[in-house]
Amino acid sequence: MKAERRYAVLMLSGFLGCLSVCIGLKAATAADYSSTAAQPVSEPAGSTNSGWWDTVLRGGPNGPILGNHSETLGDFHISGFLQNQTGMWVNSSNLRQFTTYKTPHSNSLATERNWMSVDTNYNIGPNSFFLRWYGVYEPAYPNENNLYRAAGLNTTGPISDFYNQWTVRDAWWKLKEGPLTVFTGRQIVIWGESISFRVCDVVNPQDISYAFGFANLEQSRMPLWMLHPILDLPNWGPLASNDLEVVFAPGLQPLYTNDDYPDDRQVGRHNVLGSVDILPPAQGARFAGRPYPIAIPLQLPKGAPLDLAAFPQIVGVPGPTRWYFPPATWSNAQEGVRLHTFLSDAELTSFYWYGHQITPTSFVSGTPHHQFISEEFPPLNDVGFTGNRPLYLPGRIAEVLPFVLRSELLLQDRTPINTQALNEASAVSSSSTLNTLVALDLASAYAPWLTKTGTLTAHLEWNNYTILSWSKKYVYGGSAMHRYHNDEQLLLSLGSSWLWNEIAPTLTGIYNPDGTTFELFPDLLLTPHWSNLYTLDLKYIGILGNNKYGGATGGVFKGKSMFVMTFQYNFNLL
Amino acid sequence: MRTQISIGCLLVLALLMGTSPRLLAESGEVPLEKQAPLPLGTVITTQNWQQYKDYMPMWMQLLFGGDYAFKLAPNQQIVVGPLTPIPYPKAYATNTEKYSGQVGLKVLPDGGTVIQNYTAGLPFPHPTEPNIADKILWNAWYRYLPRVEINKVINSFLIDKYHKIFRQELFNDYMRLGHVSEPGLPIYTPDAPDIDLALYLEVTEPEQSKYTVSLILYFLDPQRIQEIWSFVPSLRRPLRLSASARCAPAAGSDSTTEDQKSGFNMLLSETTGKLVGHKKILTMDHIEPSYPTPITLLDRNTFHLWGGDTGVAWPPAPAKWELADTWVVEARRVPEKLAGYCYGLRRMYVEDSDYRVSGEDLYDMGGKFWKIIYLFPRLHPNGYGDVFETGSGNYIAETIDVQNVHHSLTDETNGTNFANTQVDPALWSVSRYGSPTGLLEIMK
Repeated sequence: MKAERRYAVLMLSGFLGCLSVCIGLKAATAADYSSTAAQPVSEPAGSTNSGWWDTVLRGGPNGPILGNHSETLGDFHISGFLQNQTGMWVNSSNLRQFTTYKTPHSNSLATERNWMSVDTNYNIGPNSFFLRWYGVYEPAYPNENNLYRAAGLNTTGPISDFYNQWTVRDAWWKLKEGPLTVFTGRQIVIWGESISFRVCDVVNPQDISYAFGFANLEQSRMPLWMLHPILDLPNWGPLASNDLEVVFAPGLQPLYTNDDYPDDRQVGRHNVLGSVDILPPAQGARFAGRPYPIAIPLQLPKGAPLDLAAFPQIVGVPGPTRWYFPPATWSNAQEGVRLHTFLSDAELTSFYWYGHQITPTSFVSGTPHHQFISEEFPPLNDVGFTGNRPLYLPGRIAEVLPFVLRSELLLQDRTPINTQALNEASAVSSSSTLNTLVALDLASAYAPWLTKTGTLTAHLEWNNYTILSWSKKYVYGGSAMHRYHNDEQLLLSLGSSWLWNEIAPTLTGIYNPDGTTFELFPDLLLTPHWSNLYTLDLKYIGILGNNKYGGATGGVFKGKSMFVMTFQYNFNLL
Repeated sequence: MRTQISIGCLLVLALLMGTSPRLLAESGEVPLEKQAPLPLGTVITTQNWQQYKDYMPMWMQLLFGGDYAFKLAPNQQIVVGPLTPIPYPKAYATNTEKYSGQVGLKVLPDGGTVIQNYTAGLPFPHPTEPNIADKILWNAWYRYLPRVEINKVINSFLIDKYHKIFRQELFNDYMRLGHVSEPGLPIYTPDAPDIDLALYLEVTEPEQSKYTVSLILYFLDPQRIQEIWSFVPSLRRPLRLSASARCAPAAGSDSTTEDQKSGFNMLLSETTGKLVGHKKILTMDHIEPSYPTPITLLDRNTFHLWGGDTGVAWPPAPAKWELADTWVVEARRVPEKLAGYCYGLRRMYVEDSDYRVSGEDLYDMGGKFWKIIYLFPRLHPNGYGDVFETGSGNYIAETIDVQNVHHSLTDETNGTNFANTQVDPALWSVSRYGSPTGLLEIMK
């Protein structure tokens, strides 16, 4: 494994070296172009700017670094970006609250993620090929490295290498023949409508180890290996643009990087790890929530009610946690089918999905005094519906309020939910659940009172998660916090831009009435006008609330507010 | 230093406010029959242009006059050449003859108009009163467009007042799916029975915007509002937009939704036209070199030759300008729907030979001059043995925002533009490039 890593670092260095040389070579040819292009109107060409400085400022040449070879290579393109993300905790002392081991914080560094993404596109006739490669390097974070020592029995290895990746992310072949399009390979399928909540977005698992998932929906998605045909269907009565989409994802979903958990849960299971979420590597890790302090009755003072513990079913001290990943069998394959249509100007979809949970549910297994927590991913059946349509307001206000309405509904059969009912020895019961979303978009409104060179965009999303069972014993996983039967969340996002997108602020906030919890992430994206090759993004992620154990609200992250700066350099090789 | 800059800014502001705005004026256009033809070889420069201003659209006079920050460089000029007639593609001409007799125009209560019984070809080959201006606008709307027209590479340069350039690269696949006039193809495409046009535009560079797609669907019912979709890579799914926001700037450029479709995308049922002239106008219809030789502004020498680094894009020699018979039409939104709208007036220069819009003057709601749009095309084969210049590509185009001192220069002449039979069959796919369903195929 170590040799592999060394090889990866060498390869990455080599690639970066080649890139630098290429940029240097092309810069020489592009210098004159850039210098003349940078002249003020009144100045004659070539009088002031030096070519090399302008090229440095631009970050490279216009167009592909290796030139356009479409005639010889056909429709073959390679492009990508290098990104550095540096984040600092607002108050690093708060990190002490996130482990039961009281690990001292080491510094304020929240994230130092260095990331390279390379896209390769090749189209020939009815065939298309797409490959997205990821290389990620993060240094060892001192406070995380201390965790395994402090944790004692449960962990055996360091976390220093957990976040690093050298992997093919998306890799698929598309074949189009008549009305049938077939995608084969590792891919992401989005069936949901929401910007931030996962309602009908049921297919792909998430990587929530290196960032907060709620602030980073796209990058947190993990592709699945799958066969994915889409069949265009003829129009039928008032229904137009009909198609039928099928997803078959086998149980075999190998994952070999970004899975080096210190408790070795992954050992021997690399062949299926890709089918479930990548979780924070350990309790107390940077993006893990606050653990509930009382897991078992033994931690309670004598005479205290048992339901103050997360797992009142446990008698004595439980053994080490065991992980049961869905095995690579045919019966564990995930399948889904979706119908898509238009009725007038409303887009409608409905789908059925059979799969397994992608986040683990904690079961209590074994017999009293010989119990342990088993983390499992039970099967599920989903039925979902989505719809959207523009709302054309009458007359004058239509121009200034271009609304679009979106909605989603997901009914899940037998969702596993942790319960404190003592007659449930496994600590898990199940209930059907209903997850709904109604959203109103203000889609690129003309707002000259705000900006003459941009638009105003706003999204308002209301998410409701309803547990249909009557039971009052349900708790959020791993805690004794009673679970609401109706959990509400509200998202509001406002965005605009000035100077032709050079300055693009976005203010996004999620509100949950439980604990009056707010997750706020104002963001400012800066793009220089003289170049499309780099951008700078400044973001604050703040969590406010009164319920610091609120798992569904984000309250568990209270205290982990941070500032994040992301610099991205784009390159177009071919 | 800062004080000097501030004073400079104030002076510039004062100049812009005090002198530059050209208020809406009476047209004062010289009619066609009173215009003497210009001798071939006449050279018009920034020094002598005033002698020829009767042959110039307003936007051209402004560029020659140098009132605004973006203006012609001293070496940019016009050389008058012979007029080259461009016949309609044969199938379009046949459909014009066959169907134009049955076309009517209905005037709506608010002053807008709706075309009636239109099938294919030019709706009003000989526009006459009443509502002649509206008929000219409908002609421009239904001018010849190929069934499929693509540009594999569109170079888009967004240029600020310091001539700093932000470049985007795009791919487009534009399809006429209804009112089709091509030999052997049905007038209404069976795969899209209610759609008139589908405009698919995908960003391929820069990387942070790559895979972003805009899809606009126009319906056969001209009163049905268009549908706009956007594929957002960060969401990995199509996002529905509302077509009711006509004035929203598009993708960091100087164009709005109203300026799509080669500069003219007003909802005609909400538009009234006024004819202000029919005259000979200096027009560039044949930039050089001719098709298929690429003209790519990505090449620094070409960019310089075209004036991209010194002023505004202008066709260099040996391209010759023509005196084309041109309708001058002022298009305005109907008064009832003016609230929240952006343009007080759109003065359009429409060639009466093929109803191509060669240029436009745009004024804001306060009557101040705001933007210039012009397109310099060249003849392009349509894949069925004819040529055209009215398409959505195969031109070098400028949109100049004189108020905010910014312009968008687009080159669609770099050798990757094709029409009809020249286009890869995969790019004819309605389900992929002409339907929101196709957006589901991006990035997966």
